[in-house]
Amino acid sequence: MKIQTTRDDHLIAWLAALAITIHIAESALPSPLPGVKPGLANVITIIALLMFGWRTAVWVNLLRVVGGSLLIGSFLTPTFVLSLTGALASLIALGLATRVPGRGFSAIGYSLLAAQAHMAGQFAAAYWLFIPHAALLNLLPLLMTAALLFGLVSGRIAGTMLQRMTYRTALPPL
Amino acid sequence: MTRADKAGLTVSLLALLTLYGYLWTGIGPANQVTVTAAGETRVFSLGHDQRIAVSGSRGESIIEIEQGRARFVTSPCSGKVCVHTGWLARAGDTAACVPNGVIVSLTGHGKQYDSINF
Repeated sequence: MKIQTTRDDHLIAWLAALAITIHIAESALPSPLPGVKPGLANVITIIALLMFGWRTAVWVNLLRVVGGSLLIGSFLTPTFVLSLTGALASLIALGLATRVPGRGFSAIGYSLLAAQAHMAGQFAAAYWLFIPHAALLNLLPLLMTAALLFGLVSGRIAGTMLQRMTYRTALPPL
Repeated sequence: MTRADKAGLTVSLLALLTLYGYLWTGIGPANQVTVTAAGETRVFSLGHDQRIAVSGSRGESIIEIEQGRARFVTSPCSGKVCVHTGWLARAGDTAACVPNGVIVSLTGHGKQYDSINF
C-alpha cells in the first residue's frame, strides 16, 4: 500500500521537523528553574500561523510535542503532559487572537500571547495534576516574567525571519 | 508593532505586576515549617533544631531544622532537586520533592496571603 501525501502534508512535515530540531537542541540547555526555557520552537509555530494559517500551526505544534517527546524519551511522562497542555493553551490563544478585527496582531504579539498562554497552561496543569500546593504559586510571577521576555524575543526572531522570506511566491495559504 | 500588539503587551505587563502584587507580598522572617506529605500536613516550629523523617510515596525523606532554617537532607528521588534547593530561611521559601510527594515550606506569622486569584 502506498500512502498518498499531499503538498500540505510535506509542508507540515518540514515545519514540524524544524520545530522538533529546535525543541531537542533546546532540551540540552541547562535551565535556571524547572519550567523555564526559551521556547524557540515557538518561532516555527508563529511562522506557520502567519504564513499558512492556524490549522497548519496546530499540526506543527502538536507534532512537535509528540515527535520531540518521542525522540527525547519523555513521551507520556509528566513533562510531556505539561508540554502538551502548554501547547494546547497557546494554540487556543492563537486561534482566538487571529479573530481580532482590524490589522490584528503581528508576529511579536502572537508570540507574546503564545508564550504566556503556554506558561499559564503548563502551570495550571502542574498545579492541578502534580503539585496542588499554594507554595507553587510563589513561582508563578517569575515563570510569567520569563514567558513574557522569551515571548518577545522569539516574536522578534519570527518577525525578522518573515520579513526576509519571500514566501508569497512559494506557496499560497492552505 | 500593530495596535493589537501594543494592547497585548500592555495587558501582559499589567497582569504581571498584579501577579507580583498578589503573590509576592507579605514575605518576612519565618517561624514555622509546614511539611506536606501524602496529603497530610504537619507544622513544626523553627525554634528547636531537629531532624524529621517524613514518609512519602517512594520512601522516607529526611528534613533538618537548624538555627531557624530548614532543608532536605535526603530524599528517595533521582533528581535531588529538593536537596539541592539548600537551606530555606525566609517565609515563603519552599523546597519540594515531587517524586516522593513531599513539600517543605516556611511560613511566618499569620496567613501568608490575603487571597489567591486565578
